[in-house]
Amino acid sequence: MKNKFIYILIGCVLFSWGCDKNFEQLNVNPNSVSGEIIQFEKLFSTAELFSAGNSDGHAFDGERGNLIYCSCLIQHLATNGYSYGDKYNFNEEYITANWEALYPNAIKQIVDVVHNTKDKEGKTNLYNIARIYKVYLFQFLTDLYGDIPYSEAGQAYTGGILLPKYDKQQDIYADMLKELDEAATALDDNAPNSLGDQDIIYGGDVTLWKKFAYSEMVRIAMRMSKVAPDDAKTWVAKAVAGGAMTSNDDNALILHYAVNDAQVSNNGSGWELINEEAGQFKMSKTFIDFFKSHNDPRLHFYATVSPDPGALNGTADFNFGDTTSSIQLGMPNGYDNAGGLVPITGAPNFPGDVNDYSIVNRYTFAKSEAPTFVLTAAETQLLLAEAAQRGWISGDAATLYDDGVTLAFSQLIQTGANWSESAAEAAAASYLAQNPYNAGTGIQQINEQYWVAVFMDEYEAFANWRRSGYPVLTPVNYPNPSINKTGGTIPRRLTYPLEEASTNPENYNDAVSRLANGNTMTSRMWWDTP
Amino acid sequence: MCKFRLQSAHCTVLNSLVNEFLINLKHTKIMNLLSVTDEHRILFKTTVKKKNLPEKTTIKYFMRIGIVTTTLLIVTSAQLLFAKTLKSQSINKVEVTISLTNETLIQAFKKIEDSTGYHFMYRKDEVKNIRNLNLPVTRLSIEDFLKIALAKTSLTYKQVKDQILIMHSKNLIPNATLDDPKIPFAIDAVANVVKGKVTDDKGDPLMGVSIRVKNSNTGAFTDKSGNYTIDAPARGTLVFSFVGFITQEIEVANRSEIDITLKAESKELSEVVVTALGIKRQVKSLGYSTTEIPGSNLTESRTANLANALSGQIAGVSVAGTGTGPNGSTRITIRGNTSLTGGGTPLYIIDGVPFGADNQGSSGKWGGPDYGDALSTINPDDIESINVLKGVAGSALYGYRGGNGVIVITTKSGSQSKGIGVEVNNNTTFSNIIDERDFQYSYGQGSNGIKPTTIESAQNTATSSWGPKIDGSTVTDVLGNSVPYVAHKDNFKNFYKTGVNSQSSISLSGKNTNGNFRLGITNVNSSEVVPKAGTEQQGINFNSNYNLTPQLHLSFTASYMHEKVKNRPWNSDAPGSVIASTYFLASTFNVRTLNPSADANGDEILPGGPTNIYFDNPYFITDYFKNTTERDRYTGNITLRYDFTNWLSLQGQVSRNSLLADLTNIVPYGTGWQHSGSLDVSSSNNRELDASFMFEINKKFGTDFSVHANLGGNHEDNLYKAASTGGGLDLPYWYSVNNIVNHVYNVDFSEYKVNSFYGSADLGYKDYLFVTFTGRNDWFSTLNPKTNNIFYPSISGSFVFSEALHMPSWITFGKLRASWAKSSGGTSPYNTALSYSNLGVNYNGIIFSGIDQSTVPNALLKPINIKETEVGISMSFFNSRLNVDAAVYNKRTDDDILNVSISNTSGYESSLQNIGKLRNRGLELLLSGTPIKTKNFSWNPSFNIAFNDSKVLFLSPGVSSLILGDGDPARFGNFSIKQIVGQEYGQLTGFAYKRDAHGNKIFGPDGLPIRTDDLVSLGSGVYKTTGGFSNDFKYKNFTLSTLLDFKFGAKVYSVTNAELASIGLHKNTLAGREGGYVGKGVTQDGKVNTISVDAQTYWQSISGESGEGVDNIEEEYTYDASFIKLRNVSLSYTISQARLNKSFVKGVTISLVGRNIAVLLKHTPNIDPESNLTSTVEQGVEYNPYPPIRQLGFNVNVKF
Repeated sequence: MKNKFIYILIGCVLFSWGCDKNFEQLNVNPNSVSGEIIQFEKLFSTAELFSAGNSDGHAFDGERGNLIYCSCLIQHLATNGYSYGDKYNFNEEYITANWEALYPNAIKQIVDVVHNTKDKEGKTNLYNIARIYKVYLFQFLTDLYGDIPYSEAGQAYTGGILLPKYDKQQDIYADMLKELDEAATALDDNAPNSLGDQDIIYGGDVTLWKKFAYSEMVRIAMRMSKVAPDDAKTWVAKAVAGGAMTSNDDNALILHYAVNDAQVSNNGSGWELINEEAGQFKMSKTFIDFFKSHNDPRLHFYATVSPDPGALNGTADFNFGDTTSSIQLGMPNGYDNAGGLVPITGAPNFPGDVNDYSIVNRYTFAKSEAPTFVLTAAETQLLLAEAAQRGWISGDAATLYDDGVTLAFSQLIQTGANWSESAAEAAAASYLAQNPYNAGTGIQQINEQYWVAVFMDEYEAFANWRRSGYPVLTPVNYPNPSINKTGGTIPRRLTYPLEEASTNPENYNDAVSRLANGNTMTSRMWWDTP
Repeated sequence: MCKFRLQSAHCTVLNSLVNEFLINLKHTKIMNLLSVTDEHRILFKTTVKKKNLPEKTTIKYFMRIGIVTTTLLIVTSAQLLFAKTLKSQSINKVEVTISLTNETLIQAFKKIEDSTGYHFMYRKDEVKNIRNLNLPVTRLSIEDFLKIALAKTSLTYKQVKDQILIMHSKNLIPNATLDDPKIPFAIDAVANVVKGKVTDDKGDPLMGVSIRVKNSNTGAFTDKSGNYTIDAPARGTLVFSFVGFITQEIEVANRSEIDITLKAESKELSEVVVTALGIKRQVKSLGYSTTEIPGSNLTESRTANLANALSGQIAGVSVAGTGTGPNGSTRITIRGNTSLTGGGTPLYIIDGVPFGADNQGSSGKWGGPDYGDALSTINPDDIESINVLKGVAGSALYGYRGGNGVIVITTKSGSQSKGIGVEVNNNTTFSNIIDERDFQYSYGQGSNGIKPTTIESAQNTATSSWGPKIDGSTVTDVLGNSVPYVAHKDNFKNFYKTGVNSQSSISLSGKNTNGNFRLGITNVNSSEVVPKAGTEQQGINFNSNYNLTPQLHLSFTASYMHEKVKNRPWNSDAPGSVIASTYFLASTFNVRTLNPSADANGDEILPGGPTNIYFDNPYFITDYFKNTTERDRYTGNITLRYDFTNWLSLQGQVSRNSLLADLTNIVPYGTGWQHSGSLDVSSSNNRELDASFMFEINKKFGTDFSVHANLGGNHEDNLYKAASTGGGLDLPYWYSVNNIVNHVYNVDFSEYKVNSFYGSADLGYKDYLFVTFTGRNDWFSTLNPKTNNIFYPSISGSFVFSEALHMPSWITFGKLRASWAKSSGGTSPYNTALSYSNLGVNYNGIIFSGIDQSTVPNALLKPINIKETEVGISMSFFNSRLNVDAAVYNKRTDDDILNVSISNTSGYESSLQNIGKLRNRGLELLLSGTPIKTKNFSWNPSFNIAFNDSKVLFLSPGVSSLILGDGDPARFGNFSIKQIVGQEYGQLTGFAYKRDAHGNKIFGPDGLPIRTDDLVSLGSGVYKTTGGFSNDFKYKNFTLSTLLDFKFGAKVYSVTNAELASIGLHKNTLAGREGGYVGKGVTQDGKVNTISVDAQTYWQSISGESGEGVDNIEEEYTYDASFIKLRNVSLSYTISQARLNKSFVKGVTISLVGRNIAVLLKHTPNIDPESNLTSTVEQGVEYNPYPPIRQLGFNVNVKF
C-alpha cells in the first residue's frame, strides 16, 4: 500500500516531467512556419516582387532611388521640387533607399532560397534560377553603390555574419559571371517545374531563365567594356553561345495589378506618379528634345500634358492629359519653383504655366499596373550591337541595332501602348529609315537608343550612361553649393548609408578608403573609368 | 527529593507510552509542525506563561519555532524513557475529591490538577467536546475518574510520572517493552544522584526542563518548582534543554547539586521562514537577507494593487508609483534593475504557485489606459505573510526566474483555528483627490493679453491662460454665453467626486487532528474619483491540509478571482483623457460649462471647438466612453507528501495558474477626433502549469551536526494566447464587432517549457555555524537544444557568533552572513531559429511568404547572467529591544540581452546578443525595536533604508548609449531615456540651458535662452535611496500605526509642467506678464542680458509642443523627484478577549485607516513626484497623471 502511493507519486511527477524531449519543436512559433515546411518557391516570389522597387507599398525605394535620384540624374525626368537628382543635392535617406530596401528584403529572401535549396532533391531549377536572380539583384546594387557586401551579404542567420565585408566590385563581377555560367548550365529542362505561378516573371520556365541568364551575362560583360574589355569580350561571346533574349516574349517583366491603394503589388514608380508624387515630376527637356529631334513616334507613348497633373488618381480632377506628340514639352533640369533661386518661370521658353510641361504618360508608364522591366530583349540586342561594333562577337552591328530598336518599339505594347505588333514594327522601320545606323557614331546611337528603351528602369539608364558616356548630357550647375554637392557634375554613384559607418565601421571604412572621393556621389566605381 | 522510584510495572506502561510518542512524532514531525506545536503548547502551557513572552505573539511564536520545537520535543520526550527518578505515584492510588456540575472535561482536569499536582496533557480538540459532566461530591482515584469520564470516547490515558496523557486509543502500543528492538537504547547503570534547580534569568523556576546525561540514555525533567533529580556519572555532562531556551551543557564534576539558569533563546534563534521552493528554514541558518512582513500590514490601509501596499515596508524593495490611477500597473524592483532594456521585476510565488505580475499593457506617449497588472487579483485578506527573498542567494533555487528576487506570499490556512472559526472583515474607505495644482489665477483665458469675445476666440483659447488680468468683466465662453471673467479654481472639486471603496471578506476555517481548511470569500466594490469608473471583484480562496495516513499528507489550495474594472482612465496625451481635459482648461474656464457634453446630434461639445478636436470634453468621456476589462484568475495547487521516516520525505506537487483577460474599449459615436467611433476587443489566456517533486532530508548527526537537504525537479509549461480585433465603426451607436468596418482577426501565441533539477544542502554545526549550497540546472525550450541548459549555483553561510562566542549579556543575538549566487532572467520563445511567415501580400491571388523578422535569430542566445555577492550582519541587543540588520551587496549583470544594431546588408536590422553589462551595489539597513514597553504601553518603531548605486558598464562595442523604448516617451520636447555607459541606470536626456563658465544662462539676441548644443544627461529616473519608517504605539487595546515612506535621488521630467507653462497656467509664467520677461543671465558676448521678451513668447519657446519657434529646454521641467510621505495611519481598537469571554464572538478589532495622508516633502510643482507614465524600465517621465488619491475609512474585523 505504502509503496503503491510512492510509485504513483513518483510516476505522476516524472511522467509529466520527463516526457518533453521535443523542446526544439516547441520553440517554433505556430503562427509562423519552419524551414522544413516553407516552400522556398514562395520566398523566391517575394524576392522578385520586392526587387520591383515598392517594398512598402509606398515605393520607398522606387520613389527615392528611381524617380528622385536616377530619373533626374539621367535627365529622363526633371523636377522643380526635389533638388536631389535634379540638382545633385544629397539626401541620406533618399540616396540609400535602394540599399535599405533590398538588403533586408529581396537579398535576405534570395540568399535564403539559394542556401536552402542547394543540393536539395527536386529543387535544382529553383536553386539555379535563384542564383541567376541573385546575380541580377547584386548587379543592381553594385552598379549603384560600387564595392558592396556580396559574398557575405544576407547571411546573418545562415552564416552568422552580422557585419559583412565589402567585396571589391571587380571580384563581385567575376563571381557573378561565374554564377550565371554555372547556373545557366545547370538548369535542367527535364526537371519538374516546382515554381509555376510562384515565379511571377517566367512561371518557372527554364528556357526563359536560361535566356535571362545569358542576357544578364551580356549586361554584366558589357558593363566592363571600358575597364576589362578582354573579359567583356570573352563573356559576351559565351552569352551569345548560350542564347540570350531575342524576342520581347523573352522579356523579364514583373506584372502589376491595378490596386488604387498603397500595395506592394503596385508598380511603385507608376503608382507614385499618379498618387503621392502626382505632378511632381515632368519629362526632362533633354529627353523630349531627343524624341523630337529624331522624330520619334514613341513620344506619344512616353509623355502627356495634363492641365492638372497634381490631381490624385481616383479624384474627379485626375486626367490622362493630351498625348499628342507635337504639344509635348520637356522641362529643363535644374530649376526651382517660382520664387526659388533659379525659378522655372525664368527658364528659356517658359510656357507660362508649369503644367504645360509634359509628364509621364499615364496610359503606359505612370500607372499602378505598369509592368516593371527587369531585363529585356531590346537592351540585350542593343548591347550585342555594341559588342559587334567593337568586334567582340561576330554578327552585324547594324542588324543587331535595328533589332534592338525594333524590339524597343514593340516592347511598348507590354506597357499597354495602343498599337499592334505590326504597327510598332512599321513605325520602327520608318524610324530606322530616318535614323539609320552609322558605324562611325554607332556606339553613341546604340547607347542613346538604350537610354530611350530602358525608360523607367532609371537605374539601368544611369549605369549604362556612366559606362558609355551616352547620351551626352549637359550637367546642371545649380548656383547654391549647399545644394549642388558635386560642383555641377553628374553624380557617378549613390552613397553608402551612414548607418554602416556606425554599425559596420571596419568594413565600411575599408570600402570608403578605396573610393577616390570617399563616400560621395562623385567617386567612381571600378568599371566607371573616365 | 526522590520520593518515588519508578516501579517495574510502570516500566511497561512507560515504554509503550514513549514508543507511541515517538511514532506519533515521526508522523507529525516538521511536515505537521503545527499539530506538534499545538501539542507542545499544551504540554508546556504553564511554563509558557512564565517565560514572559509577549502574549499577542504567543501563537506566532510557536508557529515560528517550528523545527527547533520539534527537535527539542524529540529530545524532551525521549527523556521520558530514561527517567528513572520520577516521583509520581500511580494514579490508581491517588485519590481526589471532586464534584462536577455541567462542566467540561477540561474543567474537571483543572480541578484535579489543582488538588493533586498532577498534570494532564491532551489535545484540546480531542477533549473539548466532552462537556456537561455531572458528578456529586465523590472521592475516587484519578484512574477511576478517567475510566468514567472517557468511557464512551475513543480516548485513553497514560501516566508519565506526574503527568497524565490523554490520547486516542489507536495510538497506544500496548505491549511494547523496553526490550523492544525498536527502542535502540538500554538503561545505564546509575552512578550518583545529582539534584538541583533550573530557573530562568529572572530567577523563576522552570518546569519541564529536560535534563539528559550526555552520551547516555538517562534523563529527567524538572518539576513545578524547577527541581530535578537525576542519576549521572560523576564525570559526566548534563544537557539542559527546554523549548525557547538555549540548551546548556554542564559538567557534573563530582558535584551532587547543580543549579543553573537557562538563557531564553532570542526570537532570532528560533524564527523559521518560508524560503525558496517552500522550504522552511531557521532564520539563523540563512546566509542571505530576507524580510517577512505579516499580512496585516497590507489589509488595513489597503490598496487596489498589492504592490503599492509594499511601498516603504522593506529595505531594498522599491515600488515605483505610476500616475495611472488606482488600477494602474506597478513596478517593483529589488536591489535595482537587473536588465538594461526591460524586465527586472521579481517573481511572485503564492502558496507555491508561480505568479507573474503580467503587466497588461500601459499607456505611452500617445495615451490610452493603463491596464494594470495581475497583482490586483490578490486579496490581501487572504495573505498570512509575505516573505521577500531579496538576494540572489535566496532566490537561486528558482534558477532562471530568481534573478530579480522573489516575493513569496503565503495565504492563511486553517491550522491555527480552534474548531470552526469564522472571521469577517470589512474595509470601507472614501477616496478623494489630492489637488496638487498650484496654478496662477491672476490672468485669465485668452492669448497675447486678449480675452475671448467670440465663440471662436473662446474655443481657440480654451486651454490658453495668456489673457489679461482677471477683472470680473464679461467675456464669451465656448458655448457663446456671456460669462464673468473670473477664476475657476474648483474645476477639480467640481468634476471629481468622492470614491467609495468597500471590501468585505469572510473566512471560514476549521481544524481537526487529521487536517485543516480555510475558505475565504471576498467582495470588492469600489468607485473611483472619476465619475462612472470603478471596480468589482469577487474572489474565493480555499486552502486545506489533510493527513490521508500518518505518513501521507495532502494539501490543496485553489483560488478564483473575478475582476471587472470599468472605465480605466486614459493617460498622457489628451484624447480620451479626463485628466488632461480637467488639468489644462484656462484659469477662467468653468469645467461645468461642458456639461451637458453632447449636442442634439449626439456629437461631442468640444472645449476647443473644431480646431482642437483632440482635446476632449471630460464629461463626454465619462458619459459615453466605455472601457471594460474583465479578468478571471484561477490558481490551484495539489501537493502530496509522503514521510518515509522522520527525516526523509518526498513530495509531489502540481500547480496551475491561469489568467483570462477580456478587454472592450469603445470610443463612442460623435467623438470629436473619431466621429464614427471605434471598438476594440481582445481576449487572452495566460497560463502556467508546474509539476514538481522534492525529496527532503532533515537529519541530525550526533549533537553537533545537522543536515537539511532537498533534491527535486520541476517541469514548467507556460502558454500565452490571445485574439483581438478592432477598428472604426460603420453604423452609429452600434458597438459590435460586426459593425467594425474592417475587422481583422489577430492572434498571438507563445509557449515555452523549462525543466529543472535542483538541490540544496544546509549543513549545520552546533546550531551556530551553517553553510548552504544550492544548485539548480534549468533546461529551456527557448534555447538552442545543444546549449539549452544552465546551472545556477549558490553558496551561503551564517555564523551565529552570539552562540559560538561569549558575548556580553546585552547582546542577545548576533549573526554574520555571506553569500554568493548566480541567477538569470530567462529568454523569450522563438528567438533562436528562423521562421517564415505569410507576409500579407496578395499578388493577383498569389500569397507571398518569407522571412519577416528584422531581428536575426541568435541560436546561441542564452539568458542574462546575474551574480550577486552579499554580506550582512544581524544583531539584537537588550533582549531584542533593539534589532539591527545590515546588508551590503554587489550584483552584476553580464550577458544582458540587447537588440544590437547590425549591418542591414546582413539581411537583418538587429541581432539579439548577450552583450550588456550592468552593476548594482548597495547597502540596506533595518533598525527595529521596542524602546518602550510597559504593562499597558509599548512603542515599536522600525526604520529601513536602502541605497542602490547602479552603473551601466557596457552596451556593445563602440556604443556609448542606448535609447530605451521607442525613444521618445514624452509628448513635448526632445526627451528620451537612455542607458549611458559609465552612468547610473536610466538617464533622462534632453536639452539643458547653455551656460557660461560661471553657470549663468546664456541668452540669444532675441532674449530667449540658448539651449545646449547636444542632448545632455539630466539625471537618472531611478531612485537611489528608498526606505520607510513605521511606528506602532500600543496602549492597552489601542494600536496606532504609522508609516512614513521616502525616496531620494531620482529625477522626473514633467511634461505636465512644460505644458502648463506653455499654456500660461504655471505660476512661473506670471513673471514678465506686464512689460515682458528679461531672462536672468548673460548674452553670448558675456554681458548681462537685458533683452525683454513677451512672457508668452518666452515660456512657449522653452516649453511648447515641439515645432517652429520652440526650443524646448527639458532642464527647466526636470525636477528632483525625492519625497517623504506619510503613507499610512491607522488607529485600531481591539475589544479584549476577556470582555467577550461569554460571547460567541472571539474578537473584534475596529480600525480607522488612512492612506496617503500627507506629503511631507516634494520638489515637483503641480504633480505628485510618483507619477510615472509607465511601469516599464522607462522611469522618470510623467504626463497628465491621475491625481493622487487620499483614502480615509475604517476597517472592522470580527472573529467568531
